[in-house]
This record gives sequence, C-alpha cells and structure tokens, in this order.
Amino acid sequence: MDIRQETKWLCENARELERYSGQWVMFNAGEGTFKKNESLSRLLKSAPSAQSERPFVFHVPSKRALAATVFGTSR
Amino acid sequence: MPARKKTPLPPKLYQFPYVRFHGKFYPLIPIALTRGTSNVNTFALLDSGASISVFRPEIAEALGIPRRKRKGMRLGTAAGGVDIGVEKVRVEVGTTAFNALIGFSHDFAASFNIIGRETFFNKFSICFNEISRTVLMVPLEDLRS
Repeated sequence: MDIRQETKWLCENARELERYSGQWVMFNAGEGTFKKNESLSRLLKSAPSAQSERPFVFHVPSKRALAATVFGTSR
Repeated sequence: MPARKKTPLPPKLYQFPYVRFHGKFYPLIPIALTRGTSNVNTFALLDSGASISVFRPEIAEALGIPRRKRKGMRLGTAAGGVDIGVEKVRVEVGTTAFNALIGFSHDFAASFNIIGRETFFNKFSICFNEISRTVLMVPLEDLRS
C-alpha cells in the first residue's frame, strides 16, 4: 500500500468529491478505480478480491456537517 | 580489530498534506484498521483536542464489531454528551502498527473519523505545520532505538 499515492489522490480530488457529500467513496489510486455509494457495506462488497490491494474508503463530509464542527483552518 | 559500530537507521518520517474540503483544510491521514480477518483502509482526522478516537459506525460494521460487544463510554463534547462503544483495533500508519482503542458512535457520526490522543499520540512525535499545511509524524519507537 503506497499511502503517499492515496493521500495525493485524495488531495487532488477532494474538490471533485465534494459533489458526493454524505456518501462513501472507494478508490485505489494505483489502479485508478473509483466507486461511490451511500452504503459502505455495499461498497465493500463490490471491492476486488483479497488478492489485489484493499482500496481506501472515505466518507465525504457535507458542508453542513463540517460547519457543525470546530476543526480545520480557513484559507 | 575494534568491533565496527553499527550505524542506527534514521527514523521514519511520515508527511501528510492537509486536505481541503469545502474551503477549509484538515489534517487527514491514511490509516489501516484490522480486527481478525477484516480490514479497512480509510482516512481520519488527527485531532489533538480529542481525548479518544471516534470513528464512524459503518467502520465498526465493516470490521465485524457487533454493537453489543463494544464497551460503553459516555463522551463529553461541546454539543453535549454522546454514547460510544469502544473496541481494541489493530492500527497501521505506514509501516507502524500497534493496538489502539477506538470508539464508534451512531450519535457522533457527523463528519470525519477522529483520531484522539489516547493510545495514538503516545506512539508518534507529531508536528502540525499550519503554514505549509502538513502534518509530520515520527514513530517514537524509531526515536528510542
């Protein structure tokens, strides 16, 4: 697992991911795969077999949910 | 002939850029969670203001942790108290692996998974750089050797 690659992918695609706020996304930066679903369990069921690298899953926060929290720094 | 002195390996250093969502930057780090044969790779927010880690309830389900098995705890937050279930989970950040206590809550699942201080911040030297918007982490086990 190349965590630098996955982190880079998340940074570069965060803006695009905002459109999926409130949903789960699953990606593998090395293989260039991406899926989304409202259910994490459904998303994981569609994940490739254990032989390939386990993809990353991430719950995309909504603007509203983030506004309700106090962490993060503004530009 | 004197014994050759072994040169210690330099400590590992993890550097993660902050991730921008909805106009704000967050110190999110990649983390792998394992319990038994189940494992999940995800991202979580490093939060030095949180005493314990709290992850989304869907992650507990993916790890096969039944709700009734989790040890109950009441967590105080700025918005009031919430009930969480705590479980010991194998955690990996890069190549650094250890056991950590992680809370899962249905009531506190608003945004990110949160990594708090307990059983996590004592494994790393952590530096938040708000200017370059990066977080640097050095495993303490590397600094001791």
